[in-house]
Amino acid sequence: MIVDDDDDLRDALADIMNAQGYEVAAFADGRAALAALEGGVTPFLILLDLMMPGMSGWEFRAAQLENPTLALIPVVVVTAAGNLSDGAGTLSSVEVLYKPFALDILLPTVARYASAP
Amino acid sequence: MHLAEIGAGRCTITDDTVVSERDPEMSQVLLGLLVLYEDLSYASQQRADAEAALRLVAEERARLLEDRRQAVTARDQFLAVAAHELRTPLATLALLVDYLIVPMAPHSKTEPGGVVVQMRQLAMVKRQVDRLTALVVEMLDVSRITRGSFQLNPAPVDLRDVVREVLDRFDLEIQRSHVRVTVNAPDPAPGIWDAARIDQVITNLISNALKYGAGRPIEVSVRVEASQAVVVVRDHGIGIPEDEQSKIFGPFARVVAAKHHVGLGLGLWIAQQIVQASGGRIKVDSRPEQGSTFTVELPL
Repeated sequence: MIVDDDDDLRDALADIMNAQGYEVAAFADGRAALAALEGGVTPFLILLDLMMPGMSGWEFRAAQLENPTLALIPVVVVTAAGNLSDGAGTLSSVEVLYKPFALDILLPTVARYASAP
Repeated sequence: MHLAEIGAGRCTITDDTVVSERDPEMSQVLLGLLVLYEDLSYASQQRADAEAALRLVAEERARLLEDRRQAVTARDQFLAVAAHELRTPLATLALLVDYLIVPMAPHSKTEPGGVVVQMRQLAMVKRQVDRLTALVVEMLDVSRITRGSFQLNPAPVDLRDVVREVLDRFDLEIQRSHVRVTVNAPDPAPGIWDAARIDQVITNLISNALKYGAGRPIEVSVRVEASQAVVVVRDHGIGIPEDEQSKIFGPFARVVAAKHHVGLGLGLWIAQQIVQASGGRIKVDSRPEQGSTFTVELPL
C-alpha cells in the first residue's frame, strides 16, 4: 500500500511496484488508506508519507496503532521531512526512507517485507 | 529649629528657614544642609533620568533581539520548507530516472503498452523538472525583490487571455482533482501590464484555490470597472481565520499547519509585490470553512 499526497510520486511508486509484480493500492491521504484497511485490504507493507493534507502520516499511524489487527501491518515511512518527531513517538519503531531515495534502496526494502513470514 | 527635628524628617529646610534662623551657627549648618539636600536631589534626579534612559536602551535591545530571533526562526522554517519542497520532486525524478535507465522490468519495454508507460513516465520526469525550476525561480524572485532589483516589462495585453492561459495550464490538475472551475469574463480587459508577472499572480491564486478549495467549485471572473481591471478568484474551501488574514501576504507565511503544508509560503507575498509594483492592489475576503475570495485590481 502506498500513501502519499504527491500525485506524481505516488504514480511513480505504483508503476515501479506494479512492474515488480506487486499488487498496489495507492491513496492520497491517511483517511482513505485507513478506510481501505478497515474495509479488509491487507497489505504486507505500507509506504507512508508524513506531510499530507487531511489525515497526515502521523495521524494515520496513531489510528493504525489503535486497532490491534491493523497495528501488525509493517510501515516504512517515506518522507522529505527533516524531523520525524510529532511528540507522540508513534514512529519510533518504523523504518524510514528519506526522500529522495534511490531505487536500489527502495526495492530491497520492499522485497524484505514481501518475503517476511 | 533643632537638628534632631530635621533628622527625624519633621521639618523641611528651605531658603526661608535659613534666613529666619537667628542662631548664626545654626544658620550656617542649615545652609550647608540645604545645599547638600539640593545636591542630593539633583543627583537623584540625574540617576533617575539615567536609569530611565538605560531602561529604554534595554527595551530597545530586547525588541531588536526578539526581531532578530523571529527573523532567524522564519529563515530556519523557510529553509526546512524549501528543503522539503525540493526533495519531493527530486524523489520522483530519482526513482523514475533509475527506473528508465535500468530496465529491471523487461516486460515494460517489450509489451505493446511499454512505450506508452515510458512516455507517461517521461512526462512525469518533465513535470518534476518544471516543479524544481518553479521553486528555484520563486526563490530567485524573493532575492530580487528583497535586493530591489525586481523589474516589470509592461506591454499591451488582455487580462482575459492571461487568465485563460493560466487555466489551460492547470487543465490536467483540475481534471485530476475533479474540481469544477467556472470562468466569467464576458468582456475584453485590455491594459498595459507585465503579462508574465500577472500570469504568475493568477497562477498563484488558482493554485491556492485548488490547494485549499477542498475539492469544491472555483469561480474566476474578469471585469473592467471605471479605471481598473479586476480579477476575482473565489473558492469554497477551508478559508483563513480572520486573525491570520493579515499574515498571508507576508514572506514565509503559512497559515495551514506545517504537517499539511505544500509550497514555499512565498507565493502570495510575491503576488502582492507584483501587483503593487504594477500600481494595483490585492485583497482577500475569507471565512473559515466557507472559502476565500482573492481580488486583484490593476489600473487601466
